[in-house]
Amino acid sequence: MALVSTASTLRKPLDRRTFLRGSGALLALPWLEAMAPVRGPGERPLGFVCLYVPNGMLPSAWVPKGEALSPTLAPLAPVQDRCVVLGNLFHRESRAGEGHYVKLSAFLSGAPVRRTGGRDLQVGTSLDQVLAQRVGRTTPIDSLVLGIEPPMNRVDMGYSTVYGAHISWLSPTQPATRELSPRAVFDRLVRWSSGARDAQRRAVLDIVREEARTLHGRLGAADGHKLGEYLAAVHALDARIAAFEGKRRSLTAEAPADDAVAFQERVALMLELVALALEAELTRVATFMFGNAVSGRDFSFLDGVDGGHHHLSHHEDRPELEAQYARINRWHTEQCARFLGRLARTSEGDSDLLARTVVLYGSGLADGNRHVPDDLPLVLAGGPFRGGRHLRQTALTPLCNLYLSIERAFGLADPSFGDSTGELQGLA
Amino acid sequence: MGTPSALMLALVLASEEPWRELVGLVCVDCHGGARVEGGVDLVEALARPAEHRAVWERAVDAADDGVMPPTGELTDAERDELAAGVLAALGIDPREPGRPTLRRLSRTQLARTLKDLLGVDVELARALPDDAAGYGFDTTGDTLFLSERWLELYAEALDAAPLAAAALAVPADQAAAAAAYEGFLLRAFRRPPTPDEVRARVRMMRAALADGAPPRAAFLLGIRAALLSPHFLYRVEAAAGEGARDLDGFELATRLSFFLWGSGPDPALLDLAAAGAVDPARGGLLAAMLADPRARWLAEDFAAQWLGTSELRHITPDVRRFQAFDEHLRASMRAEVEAAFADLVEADRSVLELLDSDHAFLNERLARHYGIAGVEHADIRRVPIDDRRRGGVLGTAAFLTLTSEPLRTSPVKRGRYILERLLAAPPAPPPPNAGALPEDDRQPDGLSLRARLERHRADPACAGCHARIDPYGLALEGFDGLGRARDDAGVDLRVVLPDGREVEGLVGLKDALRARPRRFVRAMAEHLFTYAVGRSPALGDRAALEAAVRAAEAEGYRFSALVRGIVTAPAFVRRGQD
Repeated sequence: MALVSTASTLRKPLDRRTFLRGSGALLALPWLEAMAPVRGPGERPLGFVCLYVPNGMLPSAWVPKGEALSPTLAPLAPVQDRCVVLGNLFHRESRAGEGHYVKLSAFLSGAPVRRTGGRDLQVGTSLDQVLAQRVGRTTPIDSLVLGIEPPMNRVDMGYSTVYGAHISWLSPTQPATRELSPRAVFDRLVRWSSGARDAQRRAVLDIVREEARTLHGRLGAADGHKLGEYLAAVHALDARIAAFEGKRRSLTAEAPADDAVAFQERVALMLELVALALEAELTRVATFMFGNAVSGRDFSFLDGVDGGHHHLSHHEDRPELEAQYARINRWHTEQCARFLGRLARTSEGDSDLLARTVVLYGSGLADGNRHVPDDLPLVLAGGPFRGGRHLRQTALTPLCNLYLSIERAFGLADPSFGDSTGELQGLA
Repeated sequence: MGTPSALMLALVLASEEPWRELVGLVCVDCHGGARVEGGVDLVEALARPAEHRAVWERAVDAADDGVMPPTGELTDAERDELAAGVLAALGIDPREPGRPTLRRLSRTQLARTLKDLLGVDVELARALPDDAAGYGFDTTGDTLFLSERWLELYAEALDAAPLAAAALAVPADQAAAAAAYEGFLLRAFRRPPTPDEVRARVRMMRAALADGAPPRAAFLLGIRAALLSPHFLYRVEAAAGEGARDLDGFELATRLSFFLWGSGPDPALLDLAAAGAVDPARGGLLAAMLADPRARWLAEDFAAQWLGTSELRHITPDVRRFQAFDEHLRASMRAEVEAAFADLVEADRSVLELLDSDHAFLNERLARHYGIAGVEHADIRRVPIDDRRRGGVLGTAAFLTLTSEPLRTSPVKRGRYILERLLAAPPAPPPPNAGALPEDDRQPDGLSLRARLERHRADPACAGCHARIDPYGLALEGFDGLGRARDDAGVDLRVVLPDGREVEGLVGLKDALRARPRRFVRAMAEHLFTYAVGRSPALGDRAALEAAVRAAEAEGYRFSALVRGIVTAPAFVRRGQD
């Protein structure tokens, strides 16, 4: 049996130019069907991925009429039978607060967001991090939290722009650290798949943990809370090293080149890295932000588009602007479709990677022109859910109902999630 | 509120306290009783001050900014009286320093501090994500987070660093190791280490040697354990259960050093701290720190965040419309503002030169962009100019481009920038369904941006704020989306500022801002304060900020005078109860 070639895992989405051949990256054994025991999808761990698009989607181009795909969703055609287009879901709490920040930062929690320029930030632990903390400890990397754009440094509408840069929250008061460099993400995947051992590393952590403990006793409540971030971090890192050092994982890929590549290529790289990590079971949870809240990214690289994302999202109901906004929306769906196709083509025994990955794609805003957080544009793909459907709730329903359903799919038995009123009707 | 009863008015106004009398005399005609302009009812607020804290904060601000009363500014004495009365009524002690949240070093501070400690570069820019900001600055503890991921990425960056080349002598024996660690920890922790902290590292080194590690590698383990310690990664100050207290010498040296140099204190400053001789009020120390080349940090970090040039990397002018735009221009734009600020620091000039000056900081690329002849050098240099459309932040391509859309200028963004950053009076957020101007300023219907904004202001929901925002931006319509002077003479640059003054174009705007210098200087002081202290100023800090502004005024608005006001403020030299 020949080894699966390195190139074969670099499926279409990646431009060859963005990879360096023979760059010294680790080439471990890929997951070999011939060598693996026959296992159904239920026996490999279920994963969760959220692909977040800022600035909303033009409803008239997004909402499908009946079961047929809408113009914005048309790129999903090849994987349509694996997708559920969701309608009439909303976050009640995101109606409070103007603009984008509340809708983005609470997208995966549905929690109320405290308006502040810095002190006493508060959102809610996001679904991905709940899963990372409850089921993600079985993989070397509890979650990948990826993005493209660094945060801005101003206060906007009374909100620190921390809010606009994070959909993943470790706790109600702490965003998960994002990684913005595809190359650095790759290096980390390689590190955790190599199984290298370093006993001295833990000795160093022992010293600093002890110093943090002693210090904690000398701090007041607020600073003690802040130092709690450090204590939790050093504890978790030490535990992870103890659990996974010496355990090799299969990872087959070549290192991406440095990060000075175009936006489109960076997006493709990040999505491929998510796929690789899921495939190698390096992680079960990932989020990816195409951009931050109010992203003004120039989309003039698309035919017929002339201008920035946020600006075009304020289309003022003018057809020529709506068309450009919808074209940007469709570009995002194209990337999502490619990612879903990549997972679907990754066969695992008689199943595939998409069958054990729940993918949520969408935005926390409906129409960018109005900042409305009702009837959010959402697609649920993969995992145990039956696809090929447009599942529209008859009345506005908490998006957290979907999150409760996802939790249940992961075997978590919480009675509720956020403002959920029950599992999502019609999903199972 | 309906009409207040005569009894209530009597209760509120017929008071021994002169500040209430002042409010009664100059404010309540419009803000009380039958008339509550802008929804502000000061009669109600006087009756129950504690329940209307936000109203009083706005009132004090409005008086300080000269926005209220509209009939004419209060005197300094009257403003002080109002502020003191409000503080007393709200039970705020202006000597209370408040509390900054425990601050991790920002990524940029961390990189600089590591370089100072080790003598080698540790590559953090790719390894660690950019820090977000609280109150506009990445030096705010509340928004400097640390997670398992962050710690892992940082530890990996240390691993990848060329520590072998670090300026560290490997000790010969155990006694020498203890001394070496003690010296290193003093700098890394910015205070003398405890015996336990030294011993733990010596023990680990010994264990590694026993395991057969080479001496240098074994020694470096203890160094790693210093650089990963919370005492290095955080600026530790607090102790539980204390009331407000003066900072000790080491804490003060640390605050000064990170504020002015972006790094931990150097050995000389630590010596001063050990001798109890760190006194920010002492002119010599501050002057020496500002004169040190390391103070360029203020230009690279503080000014880049305050004036927004750190965000120039995000901008994407449409290159088809603006063919002049390239990466050289982008870099030059940032360098111009940085050089101007560095010059301000280095030569201790008047901060008003940021509003207007008879020179600009140009290289050949920028001069060509601005249409200024005779500048041939590739590096940025101070160049005398007689064109008043340049000189000062508002005439820089950096500002004018940052506040433009890819295809056009944005008078609203320009106005907002001036209000937020130069006048510290941010406008309220727009309502959810606010419209936007068209993408391109070349519109088929021929309506100018100005005309569209006028239509927008006709909507009463928009008028209140846009009357404050738009005039500043419309006065700058003589510059295109890259900050070049526009040729089309048809653009009307005459505007009426919110305070009623009529001005025309950038030159008129400069004159108007310079005529009331305190508003700008106060805004700059507030931004410096936020950056230095790690929280935004509150009502209790007003007296210190006001003193800083007036002291600066007495010294010709010299930069060092303003900084001295910040570093001697109670919030800087003391710390509040946790």
